[in-house]
This record gives sequence, structure tokens and C-alpha cells, in this order.
Amino acid sequence: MGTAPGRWGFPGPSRLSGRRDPQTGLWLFLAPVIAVVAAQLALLIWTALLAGQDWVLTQSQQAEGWVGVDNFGAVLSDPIFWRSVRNTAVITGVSVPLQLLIGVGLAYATLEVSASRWIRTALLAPMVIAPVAVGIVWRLMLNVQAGPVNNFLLAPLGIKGPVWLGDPGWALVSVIAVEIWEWTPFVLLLAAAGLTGIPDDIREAAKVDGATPWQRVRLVEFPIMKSVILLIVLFRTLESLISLDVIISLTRGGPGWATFTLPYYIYSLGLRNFDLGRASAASLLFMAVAVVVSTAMVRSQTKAQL
Amino acid sequence: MSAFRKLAAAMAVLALAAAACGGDDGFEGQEIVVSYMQSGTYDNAARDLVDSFQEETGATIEVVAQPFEVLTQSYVTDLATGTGQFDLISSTSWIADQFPQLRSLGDLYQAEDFPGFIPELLEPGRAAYNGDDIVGIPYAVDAYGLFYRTDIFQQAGVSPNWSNWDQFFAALDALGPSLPDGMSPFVFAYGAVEQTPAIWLAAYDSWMVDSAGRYGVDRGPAVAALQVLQRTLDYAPEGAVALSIDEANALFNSGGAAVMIGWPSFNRAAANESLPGQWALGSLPGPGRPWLSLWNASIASTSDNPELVYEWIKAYINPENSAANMVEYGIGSPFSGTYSDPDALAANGHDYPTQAANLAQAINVPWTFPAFEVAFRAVGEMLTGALTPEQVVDSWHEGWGPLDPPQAAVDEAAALGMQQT
Repeated sequence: MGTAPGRWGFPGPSRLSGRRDPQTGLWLFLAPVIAVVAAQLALLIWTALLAGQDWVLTQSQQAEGWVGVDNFGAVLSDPIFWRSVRNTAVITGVSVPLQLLIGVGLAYATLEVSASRWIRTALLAPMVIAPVAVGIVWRLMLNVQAGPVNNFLLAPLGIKGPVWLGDPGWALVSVIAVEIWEWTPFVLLLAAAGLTGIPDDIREAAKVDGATPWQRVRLVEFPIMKSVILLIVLFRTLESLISLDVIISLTRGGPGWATFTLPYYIYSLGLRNFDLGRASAASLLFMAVAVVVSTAMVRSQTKAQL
Repeated sequence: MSAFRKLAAAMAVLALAAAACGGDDGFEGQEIVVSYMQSGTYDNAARDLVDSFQEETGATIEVVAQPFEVLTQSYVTDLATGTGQFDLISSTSWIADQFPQLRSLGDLYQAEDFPGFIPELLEPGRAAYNGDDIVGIPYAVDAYGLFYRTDIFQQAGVSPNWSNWDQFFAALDALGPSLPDGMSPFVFAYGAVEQTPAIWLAAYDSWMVDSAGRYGVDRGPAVAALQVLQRTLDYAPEGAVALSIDEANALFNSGGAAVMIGWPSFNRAAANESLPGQWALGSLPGPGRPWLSLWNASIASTSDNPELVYEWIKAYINPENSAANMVEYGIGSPFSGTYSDPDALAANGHDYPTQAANLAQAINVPWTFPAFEVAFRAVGEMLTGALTPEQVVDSWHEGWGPLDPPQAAVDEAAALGMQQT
């Protein structure tokens, strides 16, 4: 029996399975993966090389010499770097757990509701707005003189709203609040998918066994949902760490350095000061933190699945 | 397009036609990319000119507009790497370190091509210079000014004349008792922290680059000027530290403040509409000078068609077109005739004469953007109470330490008399 060529000239099944070395097929499938990994590694190596150079693009079109780890030292001894690390940690550390709590809570709240699809669709709206637009809209909302938050929401309740974007503490709160507003729908989406994926008979069995609603959540649903929740936390943490557009349009990192985050710091070094060496060093430090955080989470997820 | 604008465009094209008849053509088939800030003003004024210019020259013009947030980085990347993306660059002092990558206009520039320029604007320190070579022709200018409510001052019997900040604050104190409910004596866009140097600069009259050519300020006067900035907050409404430029303008125009320091080109039209006959433009108190906003038309050294770009510059920057752009888009004209034209004066007597005087005095800050960011971030910290004026000056010197000022910035400071001797 002959080996007819497949559609569009690719080898037919029998040629692949019968006569060609199985290693060839394996390499064919691996090739794209290798290409992607090679591209990523090449960029990483290039960044690492840049991090060891004295190169400010506005002063020279070429690197002006090898400086070893000096750029890392300069970044680590810069008080603004540590200020931005602290701001990033606060924004991510507060906003992600709150997104998780509210998002999962909303997923539960809409689980048994007949119009849950419509409600969830409406709740997803913030996620599909461009982050730059989100920042601008919230800037208007938080305006002290005429913004609706202070003047139409808090004032009728007899509450004197704060100067949201003019006070360092409240500016940080504003960024966190906007992050929560924008990204809680993402948590809702995944959590709702996870919850609806739990078979009804498991819930019914727990009910028959006399489990209370809280016991059903804690002892039955949460263990099943654990890997989904870890995935949500991983996604949201990494996304929150690299968030820049909302902050640029909402506070521009201010007042002063109050909401200046690590991505903003790297952006300023690289694309405003054009200090390619220091920007690369800061990027690698940032990446190291992100890798540590994500590795810890992936390990937790793996443990959860076992 | 207004009739005035049509007339100006027609005159610009006629001038081009005259030049073409004189044998100054040969642009057929050439293409240039001209770049402006995306603001709905400079860029739209350029687009208005494209059809007639293309028809006249046979060349193709592409107008590229980018928001300010990315414009500077786009230019620096293009010029530093020699990519050649743009033929016409809208240069400002923020890219002074790239002035060597701009084409010297020495062989193209003719003073008579720009008759009636406000003379100070073409001096080094205002227009773009690389050493002694002019590399940019001003096309849009503005100077920080002081909007005040003429009716409120008149009712309170307070004279809007002051030559120093103490007199200015005394005037605000005198206004206080007669201000209507809800009106503050003063407002400024403190929340746009990159704008705060405007008040500082108007209160500071000393060097900004030291004798060794490094960024620095004279500590005593710098601290005193920061204290002036701090003191203005006492007269501003609650929450003013968060106000953006638009929000501060809106507050003044809606009767929320009797005095505002701001960019006239951003608020002139709105103030005329909201407060007709109730406002005038005043000068900032000394001893410093108003902050200048100045956009230059420059030619990238990578441009293959510099003569065509120069023709475009002449079509865009001339007394008629600039006056039309000021009326249509609020783009500050660099020509003195715009401000002394009898018809314009009849409608803008409360504004144009002071604006012309302010423009003649106004100066750039001789800082590149990284140096500027060090300055305005620390001022932002001061306005929220995190730093004292003394600490701000210390943090400036600390932040400027690693920065190497480009020669163009040092030259600019020297030309403005702002280099330490």
C-alpha cells in the first residue's frame, strides 16, 4: 500500500508513523518551542550584557565601556528604587488579596442567581476598558472640587472626602482601589468558571451528609478550587507587579514619589533618561523578584494538585 | 476653517507660489514627515496647511502627531539612533542633548524669512541653538501668566500691580474679606507637579548650572523661592494640591478663584467665554521670570530633503499664518505684530499687551527631562508636607549628581545669565 501525500503536500499518516524516524517528528514539534525559548534567552542575555555597560543613549550611540556590576550597585543604592519597591509591594500586597476576596465572593453570590450570566457580564465591564482610560476616568471621579466620589457619594452621607490624589497615603489607596475595581472581574470570571465546574452531585453528597454551607465551602469546594485560586493569584500578582498604565494616567507616580512603582522606575530610567545600563540592571532585579514570587506560587500549586 | 484662516492659508500659498516662480521649486515627488505634538492645535494647524502646500510644491507631506508623554522619547530615540523617522522635529529644551543631531539652519535661515519676530525669542536660551548655530525656529510660544478677576479687584479696591511676591500676597490678603462665597483668592495646578517650577522660577533669580557646568541652584534663593511656592498654597482652595491644569482652569473660569497662575494659551479662549470682560492677564511678581513654553521647528540631520522642510517651516511660521493659528487654535504667535494689531487689540486689550511683555521676559529652564523630573518630584513631596524647602534643595543636588548636562543646556544657562560665575 502506497503512502499518499497528505493534504497540502504534508506527509501522509503512514509516512510519519511508519518510515520516518520518530525523532524527526519530535524535533518538528519541538522546533517552535526551541525558537521561542531561544528568542527569550537571547533577549535575556542581551539585557544582562547591557546591565554591565555604561550606556546612556542620549550621550552616545554606543556603549562607553564595561562597568561590571556598577549599575546594579547604583540602582540598589538609589533611595527612589527602594521607594518604588515599597510602593509596588504595598499595591500588589493589598490589591491582589482584596481582588481575590471580592471576586470569589461575587462568584459565590451570583452562582445560584438565575440571571447570573447577565450580572457577571455587567460586572466584567471594567476589565475591558483600556487601563489608560480607567486612570483618566478615575482621576475625574476623585476630583475634590467636583468629582462624584466626594461630592455625590460621600458628602450626602456627611462624610468629608479626602484629597484622594493630592495626599501621599490616599493616592496610594486610590491606586489600590482602582486596581481592585478594574481587575476583580477577572477573578470573578475564573472563580465562577471553577465553581460551575464542581459537579452538583459532590455538593449534594455533602448536603446529604449534613454539612453546613460554610463546611461545604471550606471542606468540599475550596480544596477543589485551590488550584484555580492559586492560578488566579499567580496571574494577578504578576500583572499587578508590572502594572504601569493606570498609574501613569491616574497619578503620574505622584504626588512626589508617592505612587512611583518599580515598572515606572524602570520606564523612567530606560525611556526618559535613556540610561540603558541602569534600566537593564533594574529590569533584571525586578525579574529576579518576579521569578521568585512566581516559582513559589507554582510550587504551591503543584503541591495543591498532589 | 474660518475665513481668517482661509485668507492666511491663501497668502502662505501665494508666498510659496511667488517663491516657486522665482525658480525655487524642484520639490516634485519629494516626501517629508513633519512631526508635532498631538494636541488638536499644532498638529491640526499643520494638517490645515498640507493640501495647499502639496498642491503648490508637488511634494508629499505626512503629518505625524504624538502625545507629549511619548513625543520626547520618540524624538530622542529617533535622533540618537539616527533612524531618520522624522524630517521636521518639534524641538524644545527638553531634548537639548539631541541638538547636535539637528541640522544647522545657518545656510537656510534668513532673518527676512521671518519678519517681525519677537526679537528675544530668537536669542540663544530661547530658540534652539547648538553652539552658535541656530537649529530651531520658534513656531509656538507661551509664557506663564497671571489671570485675575478685574471685577473682583475693582470691587475690593485692590490694585493688581505688584513687583514682588510680598506685594502680591498683600493684595490677596486685601481681597480676602470681599471675596464672594466659594471663591478662593488664588489657584494653581499644584497637582500637575511638573508645572510647579513655574512659581518657583518666578520667585528665583540666580544660577541653575554651576561654574563647573553641573546642574545646581543657589541654595538660599532657591529655598526662598520654594517658600514662596509653599505660601501660595495658603491662599488656594482646599484640595488644590491635587488639581490638574484643566481642573485649575475650570475652577478659575467658574468663579472659584480670583487669581490663577497658568498658561494663557490653555485658558484664554475658555476664560473669554466664561468670564467676558471680567478678567485680565497680569505679570508674575519678581524677582524671577515667567516660564517659557517654546516649540521650535527643527530639521533632523538625517533628513534627505532639508530645503523642502525649510519651505514647510516658512509656510507654517509667518505673520499671517501664526496670527490665524492663534485665533483658530490658541497657538501663541512668535510675531510681535500679532499682539499689536489694532483689530486684535480691540478684542484682546486685556490680554495681548501683557502677553507680549511676558514673552519678551520669559525663559526656559536649562534642564533636560531627567534633571527636570528630579526637580518636580521633590517639589511634589514638599507640597504634601513630606519635605521642607531645604530638604528639597538637598534632594535636587543629590539627584542631579549623577546627571551630565549636555553642552546645549550649559550654553542655554550661560545665555540666560543662569550659570554660576
